[in-house]
Amino acid sequence: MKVIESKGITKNYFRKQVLKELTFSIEENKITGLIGRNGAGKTTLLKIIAGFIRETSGKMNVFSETPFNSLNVSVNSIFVDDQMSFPPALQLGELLNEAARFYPNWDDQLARKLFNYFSFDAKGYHNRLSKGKTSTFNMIIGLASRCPLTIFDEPTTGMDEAVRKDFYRALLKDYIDYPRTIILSSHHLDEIEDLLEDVLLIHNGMILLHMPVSDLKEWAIGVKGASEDVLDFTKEREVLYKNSVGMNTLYVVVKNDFSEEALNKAHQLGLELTPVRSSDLFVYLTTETKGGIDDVFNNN
Amino acid sequence: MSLLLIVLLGGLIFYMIKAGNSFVTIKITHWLLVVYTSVLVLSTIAVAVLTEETISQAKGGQEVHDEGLSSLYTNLSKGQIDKADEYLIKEIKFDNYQNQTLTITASPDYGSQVFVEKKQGEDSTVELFLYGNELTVDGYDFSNIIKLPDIELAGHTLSIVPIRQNIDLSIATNSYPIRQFTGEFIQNHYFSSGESFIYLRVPRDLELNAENVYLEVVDK
Amino acid sequence: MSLTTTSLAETVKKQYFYKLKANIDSFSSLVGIQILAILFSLGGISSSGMGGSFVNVNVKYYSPDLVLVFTLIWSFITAVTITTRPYRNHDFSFVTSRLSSSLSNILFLVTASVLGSVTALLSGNLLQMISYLILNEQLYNIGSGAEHMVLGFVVAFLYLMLIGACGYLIGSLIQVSKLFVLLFPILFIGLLFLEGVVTNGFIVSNVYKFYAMESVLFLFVGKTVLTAVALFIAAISILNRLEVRR
Repeated sequence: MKVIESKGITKNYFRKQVLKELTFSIEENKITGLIGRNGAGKTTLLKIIAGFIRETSGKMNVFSETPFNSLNVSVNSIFVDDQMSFPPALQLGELLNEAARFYPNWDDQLARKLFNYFSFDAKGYHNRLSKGKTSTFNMIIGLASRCPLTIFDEPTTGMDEAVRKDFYRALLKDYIDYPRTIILSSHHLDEIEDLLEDVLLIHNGMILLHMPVSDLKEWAIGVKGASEDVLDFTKEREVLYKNSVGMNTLYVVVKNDFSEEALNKAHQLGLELTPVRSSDLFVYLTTETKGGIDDVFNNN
Repeated sequence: MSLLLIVLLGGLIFYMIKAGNSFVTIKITHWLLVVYTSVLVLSTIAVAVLTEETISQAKGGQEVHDEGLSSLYTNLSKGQIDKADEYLIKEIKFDNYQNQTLTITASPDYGSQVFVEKKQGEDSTVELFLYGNELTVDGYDFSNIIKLPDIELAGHTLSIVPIRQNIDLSIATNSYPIRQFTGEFIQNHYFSSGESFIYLRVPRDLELNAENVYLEVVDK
Repeated sequence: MSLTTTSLAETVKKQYFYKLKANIDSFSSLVGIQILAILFSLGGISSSGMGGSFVNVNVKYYSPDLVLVFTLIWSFITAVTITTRPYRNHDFSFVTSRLSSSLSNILFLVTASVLGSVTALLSGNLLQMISYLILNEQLYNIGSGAEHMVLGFVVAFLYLMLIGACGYLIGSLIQVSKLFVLLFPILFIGLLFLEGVVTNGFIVSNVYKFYAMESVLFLFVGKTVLTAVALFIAAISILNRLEVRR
């Protein structure tokens, strides 16, 4: 079953087009990573899915309904980010009580355990929490609500390393016990890579890739060797990344759609073929200028 | 009775807080609200208990009142005191007045009129009737707080000594949402006070002198 | 996770109780503003006197009118406040739709108005007690009995709801465009100004007459309820289009 179906979703803010005709769908009970650079449109897309904002054009269906103003979508989904706001009059303990009243699948035991594990004070107030603590608290709400569609938008903002690891582990464990559709947005692919089944890569409001993580790992290939041979081998292909490694040695990343034959030939030429780490690939794919930051400092 | 109510109320509030604490965390605001509303309720009860002095509503409004006053004047000037009973405040009898003359005296600025009726029969009694409506505010009768003039008969002299008073009234009125439908006003007040007349019935032959008083002899 | 369902009524009910707790501070401001009004009222909200040669009468009138006026202002501000972005965002942290959010807001305003009307009218008694105990005044009560008290509660409640509905609509317009923040005061002052120029009374005095001079209870209830409902419907349809957390 498709939990999210997006057909040609476009979103304009004033004259700026933030999302450009996104068409994709997300299957039930999968963890999808929404990956993109800052300003790629991740948050905008997620907010349309959550029903917070409305698409300018196109059709968004969540649980086969338009999410904007849908109670059904609201009760079955939760959107967690560091902007989540709660009434300043309510203490953290009370906020958990409220969440329990609103979300039918709420697991209070889990919530309280996590609450204590991260040593929150039930009498504390949400607006007095530090950035990392805020994210941690919101994450607890997101996990314990057990919504069939759980959206985490940059959930680890401000968290320190240890808490981040705890969070990912908690997410995975809870997901295994109670499978549900989870979207995790981040600009750190390497951090969440092991968690994800699918990756939705967006850049400048457009979808670059949408595929299982396993496929993404084999999607590109790195070719390293004598410059001439490398250039010859990759000619007429779109070069995703090119870097000179010492004298007369070149490293080039291209899409991996070589035939068996071609790969064998490369071996014979003494070219070194390496898989490309997904997080590197993400950077290559989303860098505007080939060559990267080094070019800025390269005067020649 | 009222004590019982207060105890009951206190118990209720206590119970509410106890019950409330289980699902709501009690904060200062709750206390503030509880204290404030209990103060309001308590003062409502207290006001109901303390203002037992119910004020009787005088009949009619300003017009009725003015009319009554002028008919009182007419009646008195014609000696028809039986028609003026409703304005009678006080009646004093001085039995067996033997003097030939009677001087009626009042403070210089006492403006009220004194009616005098000479009795037909042999009668040595001087009868004094004090008429008037003393104090009404917005049609409510506050006469009981006005001090009547001292009236004394000593020797040949009947002295009328009005008592100066400053009366401060505090009146609690209905709030606007009620007044809007009862038609009461809070700006248009009318008062009446101090309109009093003295009516004397004296022996036929008595010689009368007036000091600071205008005597009007009633023709019957 | 299997899908769960909820109904509008259920969500509104949950949000209503959520808001009672979340907006608790508006009640402390109610208490504060009423105490302030009570202090202002201690001099008597109106006084009049009469002097004769011997008797001088001075009458001080006490009534909770000023408290009610302050409470009306509070009602307006409360209604505007709950339309603002932070308050709408609070709803969107949990289960909500824009309609349920507005409906629970209206229920909250109803509660606030009930509380405001009861406390405002009862504050008249506190006023009396203070003048009796502290100012040592013998107080006379020409206010009428229990049936008028109930009338007072109902009418004051309707006024509070009417003003609350105005505040809710104005607040939601301001959420659409901040220009309204500027526009409304200009409009209001402009109207008052015109009021002074035009002899026959312009809009403000006619509006005042329409509600405040209506002496038939049944008509008054009809006018205020219908107006409030109309204002709320307008506000809901405006808020229904608003995006949140953008």
